[in-house]
Amino acid sequence: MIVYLIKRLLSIALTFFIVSLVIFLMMHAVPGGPFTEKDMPLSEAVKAALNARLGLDQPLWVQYVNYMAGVLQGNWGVPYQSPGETVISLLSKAWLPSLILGGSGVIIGATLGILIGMAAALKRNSWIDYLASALSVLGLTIPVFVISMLLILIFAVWLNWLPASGWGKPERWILPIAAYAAIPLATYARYTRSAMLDTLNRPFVTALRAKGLSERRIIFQHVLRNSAIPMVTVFLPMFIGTATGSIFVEAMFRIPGLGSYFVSSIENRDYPLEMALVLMVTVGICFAFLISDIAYAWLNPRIRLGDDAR
Amino acid sequence: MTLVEIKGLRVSFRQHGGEVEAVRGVDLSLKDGESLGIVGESGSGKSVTCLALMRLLPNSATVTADKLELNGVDVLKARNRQMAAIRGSTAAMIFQDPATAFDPVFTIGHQMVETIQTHRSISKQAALAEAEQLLLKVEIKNARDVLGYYPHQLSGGMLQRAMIAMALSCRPKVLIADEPTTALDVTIQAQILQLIKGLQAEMGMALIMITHDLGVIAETVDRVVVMYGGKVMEEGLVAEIFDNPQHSYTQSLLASLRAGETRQPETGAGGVVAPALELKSLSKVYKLRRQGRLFSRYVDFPAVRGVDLVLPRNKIVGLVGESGSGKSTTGMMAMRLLEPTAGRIVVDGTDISELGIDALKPYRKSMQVIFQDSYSALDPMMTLSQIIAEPLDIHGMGTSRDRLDKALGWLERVGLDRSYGTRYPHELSGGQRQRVAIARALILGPSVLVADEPTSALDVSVKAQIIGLLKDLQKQMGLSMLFISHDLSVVRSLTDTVVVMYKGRVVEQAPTANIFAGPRHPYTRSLLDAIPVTNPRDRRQRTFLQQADIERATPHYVVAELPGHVQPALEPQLVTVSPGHLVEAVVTR
Repeated sequence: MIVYLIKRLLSIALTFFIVSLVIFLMMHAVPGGPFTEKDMPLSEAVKAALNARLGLDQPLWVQYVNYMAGVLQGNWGVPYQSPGETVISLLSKAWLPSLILGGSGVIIGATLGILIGMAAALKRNSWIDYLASALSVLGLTIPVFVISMLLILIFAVWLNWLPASGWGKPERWILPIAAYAAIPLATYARYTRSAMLDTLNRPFVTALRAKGLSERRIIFQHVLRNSAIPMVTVFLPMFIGTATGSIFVEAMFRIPGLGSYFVSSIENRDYPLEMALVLMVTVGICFAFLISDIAYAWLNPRIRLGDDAR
Repeated sequence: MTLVEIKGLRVSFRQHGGEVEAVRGVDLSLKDGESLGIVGESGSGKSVTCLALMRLLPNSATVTADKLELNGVDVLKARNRQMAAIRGSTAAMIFQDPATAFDPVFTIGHQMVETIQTHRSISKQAALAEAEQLLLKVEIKNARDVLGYYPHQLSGGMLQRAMIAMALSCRPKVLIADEPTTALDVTIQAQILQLIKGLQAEMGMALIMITHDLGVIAETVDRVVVMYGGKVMEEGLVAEIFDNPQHSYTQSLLASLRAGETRQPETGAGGVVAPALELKSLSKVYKLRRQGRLFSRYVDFPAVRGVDLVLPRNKIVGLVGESGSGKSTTGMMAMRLLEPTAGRIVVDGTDISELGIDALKPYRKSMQVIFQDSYSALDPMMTLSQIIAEPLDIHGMGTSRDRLDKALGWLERVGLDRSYGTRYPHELSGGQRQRVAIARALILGPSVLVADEPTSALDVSVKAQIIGLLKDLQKQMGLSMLFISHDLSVVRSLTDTVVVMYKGRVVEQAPTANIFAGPRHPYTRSLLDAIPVTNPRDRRQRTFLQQADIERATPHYVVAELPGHVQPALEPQLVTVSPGHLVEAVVTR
């Protein structure tokens, strides 16, 4: 186990460096720089002075080495768009709305998805099943910004039940959470349905019925537990997935979260911010997979205890 | 008192818009303490009948009956709660494959306690103590440890014992055993059957034994029902039915059971010609990963340990042993489908054990294989004629027209119509698929055929047909065949020589008649002793050897007793005790 963990952590570190290198190179390959302005161009001399101050006049590899050296010491640099603060302080202000909305979206979506998937599996080929399939196909195929627009159109414009956008009061959170919940709900409805049907068809379920167990106990104790094993692997990565979802959802609902920075940092060639955001998602995904794999092994005695214990 | 009463039971399944009738008017009854066998092949409706009695059929089944009663309860009308209360307490079931009948994520102890607590209100501690007693009752010695084990940590035989213990936990009035030993080795089968029989007598419960194997019936029950095509063909006391079967289907079942008793050893030219295949100290070592606290380490697991085997031309050699004995591994290594760790494989005087892929190709033509599971051995996306012709294609033989002609010819030769050429594997029955696999193996005209349990997935009557086909083709083509099987009655009827493997070694080898008449090695003896009787009058109490008993009982010889020159040694060695009869023994001076 310890050896496994060490191996995995080393591979995460390697991934981190490869991703950082690729992103760094791609970022600088995009034409233009932070001080390219179309309407009010800066004079060449000023531009050169600014570039020199930020170290952008140095060769690319020197910039990379300097940047990574800073990162390893916990210094992620200063965002060009708001030079008054650091990348860390900027992000630490922005992450809370994203986490609250994205996190509750995933949890609510996954919970509903599991319930819908269970209902679909237990009432196979009934109207519930067909409705669940239709819902999950819609959830997976309609882009999240279209879902957001539809939500605004229906609940804010037509019904006038909820505010269309903004941040602060809890009623403003409902629509963005619903938008965030769409993908987890659809994914989990599909996953749960197929995992439950697989388990329900296994011979031990008949054996459990033959023992006289109540149907409720069979479903909740045995079938759900067995089905959960493949399902845990998608749960955590979905949280990280909301980071990319936030680009659209937060733009649609005008929420001051991380999402807008993904776009603005690229548009403004705000290199430190862009790097920090991408690397944050990279590390998040890596650890989400690591924890999921450990949870998978822990839930599955076959892997936990090994095969040759007899 | 009548425990089970079934009158006019009909079961049909909705499938792809149509209705398939699985049971068509079955009458059955069972009294307290009685033992009843239901015998028939797959699709005969024997399992469906019992599942209907327990109301365990899926929703796609339609069940009707004039009467369907279990311990006085009308199964068709009872409420769900009432049925759940009966299941496990009045009637308990055990299933074919114990490895899939336990929930893999809970311990044996948890699952036993769960059963006990479902039917009786006792504390967890009391239930756990009772579970331990039950495990001891089914002769599991380390009962306390087993309670904490997960299903995958136990062998099939141990799991089936635990399953039986769990079934007995609420003292059922009837135990329904659905092919309880089909997935187990012969020796384990004999132990489990004896255990079930003993417990039935001890606890005075009734027994329904569902099986496709008349030998199991002869061993265990008093009364038998023979089913075919969803109907009862014949019913009566076991002894009477074995002596005087009325129905032609029963007669054919009995005939295939007893076919194994009448094989005459063939005398023919031999000896001087070089053998078709020779294995010389062939061995295979697998590296198993053991997880330690900090580091995982690799442990050598010898699956095959220095096997010598000679396959003479034009003969059939049977390779027998329990699962894990290394018999299939040996067969696959002989084909170079698995790389041997050490040893030599000699085909027509050439050592092929080290040849590269290109140099090996011509030898592949003369060596072919058929597998146990014909379904996964045939590409589902190819038509039968494509499947059969593919070997010709691989070896670049003939035009595509010739290949098709030849493939269709082979379809006929294995007893299928030429029109089957355009069909796909899923349209065939198991027996038909195995025929296709045989045609594919033989189309290149090989001299050696390795058959790895080719009949163990088949029904009794189909099995006899496939064995007959193999026998005919072997004679026609002069094949040398290595027949790997755990089914000793098939081995007896088909092979010229038998090689017995135990824990990766050859422990005995002799002409078939000799080995059945006078086995020398204790393992061979226990293997032969475990074969179910073919007549219920021959039932007997068996004693089973543990691994340690077998090792202790290794034969001993003094040098002077043995023909030829044998060096005495402390380690057991394979020695010739009479012409053609080799046995592993310790030789002393």
